[in-house]
Amino acid sequence: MYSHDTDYVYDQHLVLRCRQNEPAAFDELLRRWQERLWRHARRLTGDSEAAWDVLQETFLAVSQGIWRLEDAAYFRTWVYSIATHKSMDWLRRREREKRRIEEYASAVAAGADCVKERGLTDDLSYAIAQLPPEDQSILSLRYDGELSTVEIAKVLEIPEGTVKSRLYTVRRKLRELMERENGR
Amino acid sequence: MDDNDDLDLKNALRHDDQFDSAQAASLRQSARERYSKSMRYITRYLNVTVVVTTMFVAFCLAFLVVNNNERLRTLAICYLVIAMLTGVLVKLWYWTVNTKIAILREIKETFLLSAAGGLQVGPQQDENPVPRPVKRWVLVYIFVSVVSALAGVYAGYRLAEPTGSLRTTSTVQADGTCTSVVETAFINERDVPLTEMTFNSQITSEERRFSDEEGRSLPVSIEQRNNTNFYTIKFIKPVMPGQWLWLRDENTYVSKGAADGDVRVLEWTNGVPGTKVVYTYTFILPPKTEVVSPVPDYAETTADGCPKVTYRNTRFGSSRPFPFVLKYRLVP
Repeated sequence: MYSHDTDYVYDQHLVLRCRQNEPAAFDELLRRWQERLWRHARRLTGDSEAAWDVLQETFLAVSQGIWRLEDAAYFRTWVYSIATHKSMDWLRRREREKRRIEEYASAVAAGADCVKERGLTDDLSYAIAQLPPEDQSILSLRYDGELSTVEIAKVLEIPEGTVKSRLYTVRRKLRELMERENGR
Repeated sequence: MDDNDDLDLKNALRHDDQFDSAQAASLRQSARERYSKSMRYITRYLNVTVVVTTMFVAFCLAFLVVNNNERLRTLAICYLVIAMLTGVLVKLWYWTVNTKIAILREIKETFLLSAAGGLQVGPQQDENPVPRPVKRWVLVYIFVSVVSALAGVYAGYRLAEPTGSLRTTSTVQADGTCTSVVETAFINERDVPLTEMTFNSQITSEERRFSDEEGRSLPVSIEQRNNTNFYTIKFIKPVMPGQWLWLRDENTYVSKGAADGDVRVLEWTNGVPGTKVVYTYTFILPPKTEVVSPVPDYAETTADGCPKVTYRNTRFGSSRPFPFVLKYRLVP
């Protein structure tokens, strides 16, 4: 359970210190979360550069809104929500420019190529990279962000049952992809 | 793949060598600056709110004490209540939130310290914490309170309704003698009914008559003390507290003012109790004369060619001296 997790409590402690006007605590909090958020944004946008933009916007939103965060326990959900919304905004912007579909396809391909170029032969990583951003996002929140299904439901603004079914589906997809790769 | 592969999935998701720590540090620095700015803004917003509400409270309190207009005083009470509630609620909110945060922080620290193999809590305070200019703000509070109270006194006094009026119409003869009609009205501000009124007067006219608003003559007794006449007028019916008293005084008056060459001086010394009195002086001067000073508010010439000048002012904020001094001269 997260409530007994030291990391989780330490995050809450940092949030409380931030609310008491301690810039060092704010810096520490961002340092602890920067990589997770960046990875989450990259999976959603499918673009490393876009992930940096999203991370910057997320940091700024956190800097302006952390004093309004009533309950420090919601920090994880809150910060992932911001990153998700910023990523969605980025995708919408791209869609408005009528290049979304083309860039989406090329981004997925580039992502897969990138994995290969980096020499990541791990089947699982390769399979994850082939999943659509939405599926990567839910996996990222569950396994990288260590969010519960309830928290994921809050971040993605979908029912908890949907989160569970989507996680099941994504895992099944991964299994199929890996079996296909291993069968080659 | 099944649920037992969660750890592999976690490792696979976290495996990424594209993350640039230096770039992230730059973003963090930018966010930290924004955070500091945001926190400064909150502190400033809170202090400004409290200062403004303090100003309102001080202003309204002073206004209430000084002003006598019921509608304005009711308005001042409304503003006073709103300002007080706002100030108290803002401070209460700030105190509650900070206390809650401090308690929660203590709980988390206790948990972290007691956790086996737990993380270091880290520095309790920044090495260079943002200073909180409490003392400066306290001085600001005191300053704005005093200034606002003074402003409230001034505004309350300016907007107060007159508590009395004195309207004099004097016909000045060529020899300086004045035949005057003085209509006086003022509020009985005492707590008891007024049955008589005593005042001193430099007018020594034997032809002097006092009457009420219905034209009925009022009995007068005169007593001389230290070369000054003290008049005691008895009212036909008592004037209750808060009610207006109306008095008409008809007299013939020889001014004490001395002539200065061609210039003749007329002094008028009558006054009315109270601090906010509207005075109106009208003088009908002898024919072929002109006013030297002060410049009248209104001037005309009567049918028989006499200059008629009118002055109007209040005691409060008046630039004119009291007793009133009129200078006039014969037209060469």
